[in-house]
Amino acid sequence: MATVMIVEDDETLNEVLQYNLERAGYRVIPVFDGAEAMRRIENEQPDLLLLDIMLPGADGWEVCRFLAKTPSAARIPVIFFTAKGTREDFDIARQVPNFAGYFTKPYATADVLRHVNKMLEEAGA
Amino acid sequence: MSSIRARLVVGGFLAIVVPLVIFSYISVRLLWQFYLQELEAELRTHASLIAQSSAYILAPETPNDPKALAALVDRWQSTSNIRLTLCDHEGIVQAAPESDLIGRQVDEDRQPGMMEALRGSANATVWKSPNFQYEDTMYVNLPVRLDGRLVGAVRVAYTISQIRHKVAFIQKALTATLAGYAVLILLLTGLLGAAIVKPVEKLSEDARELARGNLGHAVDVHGFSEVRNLALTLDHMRLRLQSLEELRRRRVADVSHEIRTPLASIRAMAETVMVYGAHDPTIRERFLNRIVEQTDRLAGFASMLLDLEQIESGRMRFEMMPLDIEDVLQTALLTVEPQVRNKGVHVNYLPAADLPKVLAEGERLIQIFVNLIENAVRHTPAEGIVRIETRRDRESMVVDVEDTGCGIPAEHLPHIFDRFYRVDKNRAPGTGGAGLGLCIVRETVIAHGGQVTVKSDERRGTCFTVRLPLTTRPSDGIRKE
Repeated sequence: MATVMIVEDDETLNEVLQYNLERAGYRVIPVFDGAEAMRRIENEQPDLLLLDIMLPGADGWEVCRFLAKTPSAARIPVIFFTAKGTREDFDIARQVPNFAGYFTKPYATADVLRHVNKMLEEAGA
Repeated sequence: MSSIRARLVVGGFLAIVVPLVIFSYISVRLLWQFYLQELEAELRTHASLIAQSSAYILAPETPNDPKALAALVDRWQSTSNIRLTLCDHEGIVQAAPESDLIGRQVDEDRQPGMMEALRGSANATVWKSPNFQYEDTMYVNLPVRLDGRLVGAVRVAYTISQIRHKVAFIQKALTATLAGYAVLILLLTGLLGAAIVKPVEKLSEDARELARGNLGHAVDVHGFSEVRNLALTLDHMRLRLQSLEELRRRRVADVSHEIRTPLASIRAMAETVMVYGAHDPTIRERFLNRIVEQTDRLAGFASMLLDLEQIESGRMRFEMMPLDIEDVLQTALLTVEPQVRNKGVHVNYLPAADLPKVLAEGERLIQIFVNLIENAVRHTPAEGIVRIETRRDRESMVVDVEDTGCGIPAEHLPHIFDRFYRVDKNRAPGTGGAGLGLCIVRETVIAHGGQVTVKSDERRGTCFTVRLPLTTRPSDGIRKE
């Protein structure tokens, strides 16, 4: 069973995503800020990261930098979420080596699930 | 003629050159008259001297002595360039520059004024004499008397062509000087005009650039101080427009950003209910309720935006009336009661006794304190205390709303009332309000003629202080005294 870590500070969104992913058969680790994500990634070793870019404290970019310098986490694929309507976040996210997808809020949950499924299959988890 | 340059050139010319021309003309006329008067006086002196020295010779009892007369005439004519005519008391010419006249009767046509002198009155005239090739000549005719007896007349002539030459020379010199001066004035005013006009033209070019919407184009500041001041003002205006434009752009982005997260959760919950709702009544119930909540929050955000826009643009109408601050705070506390209970914080309300009323609109004033108390509750940990205190400070009503949270870092304090400003930039919209609450508080308090300030200590918490003007009605004054 693949493990997905959700890093999203909006409690409702986090909960809805968790519910849908669990229903789809994944193990989910819900996390609410960047610091907590960085603390738990190494131990939990998730197969996929759903990462909101704007987070309290350490933001999504900081989590990405942490992944890059942490050998055991360097290859975890990341799907980004942003509330910004402009392309600026997308242009930065694309440069991240772990980039595995990008969704602008509000997104269709079915699309996210489909994409998560596809990425995990590609990763062979 | 409407351009500054043309006005300067024409104005300078009219103001400086024209008076000089008039002045020169008058000077030349006066000079001319002065020379003529001088000459007349001189000729009169000569004439009277000649009259004295020739009186004896001309007297009828003296034997005719043409030689003596000729010698006298020669002496005068050789030394002073004058021409002399002498006649005896009968009007017979005794000496003259033209020898053919000698022995003839004085002729009014050829020697005008001489007959008059023979009748006893001296006179002077300027005349184009045929004797001097019709040049302007001045004649002075004097009676010649011997012991008071009229014995003849003397006529002294002197050409005034020399005076004419002198005056003409002065006139020419003046004209040349004036012409040079006029050219100089034209040049100087032209240059001055250009110096004034050039920066103004540059300025209007810059202004046109601004009008086209090119706010990045800095306004050139140079030229005279007046023009420089105008340019500075224009550049300030440009920077202000630029920051307004930037603000507008950021606000649109902020608003868009602010509504995307609640929309995302509404959509995700609705989709989840559609897929699993039939089989999972618990989640259906839970998510449908949350959808309603989130919708309310979005609606609240929309009205906040509208309020803010109306307060800021001054279109908000306030129905001011004297209010009891106690009632206002009780109502606000009642509104935030659910949050207070959920969070498990204690509200410590310390109302001062016998406070005068404040002049405000009830709904708005309640909203101010709801926002502040909600904010305080949000930042106070469970079991923490939110203190609300009212007091009177001279002509103001003061309300403190203090939390026992983690405080606001000093670098954020100056911006805490800015719209969409959050101490934690990355905090999602759900958790800390949309960053409009405090902004609305400040704008509303200012619109009520009050002010709101904030103090924060990272160990003790944050304290917002609202000051509102008291009603100045005499009845309230009497009541409180």
